[in-house]
Amino acid sequence: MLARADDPNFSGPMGFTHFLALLRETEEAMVTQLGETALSYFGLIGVALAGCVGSAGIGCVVAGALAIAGLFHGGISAFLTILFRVLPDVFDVVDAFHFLDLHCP
Amino acid sequence: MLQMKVRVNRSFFYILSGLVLWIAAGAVPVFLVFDRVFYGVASALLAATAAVLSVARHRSPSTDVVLLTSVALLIGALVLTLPPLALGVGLAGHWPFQYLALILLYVVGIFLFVAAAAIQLRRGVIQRRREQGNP
Repeated sequence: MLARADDPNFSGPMGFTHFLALLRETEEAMVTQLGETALSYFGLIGVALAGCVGSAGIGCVVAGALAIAGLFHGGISAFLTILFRVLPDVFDVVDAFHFLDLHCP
Repeated sequence: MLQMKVRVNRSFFYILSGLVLWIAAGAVPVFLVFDRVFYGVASALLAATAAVLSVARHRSPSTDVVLLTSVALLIGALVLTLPPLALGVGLAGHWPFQYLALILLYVVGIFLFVAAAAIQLRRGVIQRRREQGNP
């Protein structure tokens, strides 16, 4: 099926190439989101490294607050990106493959 | 109430280390899948270092921890389960069940670590109330 990706019938704004571009955009969105989520993950590691949970120094309060904010931001933004951007794009591509399966001679 | 300090034993920090390692166990393969090998290796090393140090820094049998910070961190870890859950539920009909089982295992693992840490904190709260004469 991929060998037919250059078929002019499947190129253009409503064709196969459009869905491949969508898939590429989805991958880029995932990588960007991965970076944002990694920040929160590193925040949690920072707290563990500093042993901040066990003390209440002002530096630890700031580190803890940043880590908690990072966890919430990373988790919620990744959730929203997956829900409203990644999944719809993936479903579009799945539909495109289904369409090709049905109409390929 | 949440601003008070509660006393937890060393196992709380073992659980926290386990939580960091478990979250890293999910993040590192994702780095590798997207060809971010350096970040994947660096994350694994950082997580391992954090896990060892967070236990090593708390050698005393019991330590006072701030309840608010601890609870917020645990809720934050629960928030991190939302993205894999959304991915798993959204792609349930398209992915092989092995992938979904791995996602479920990852999420359940985080829940178990958080529950174990919450039990430790609850014990600390009960102990603090007893010390204050409010059983």
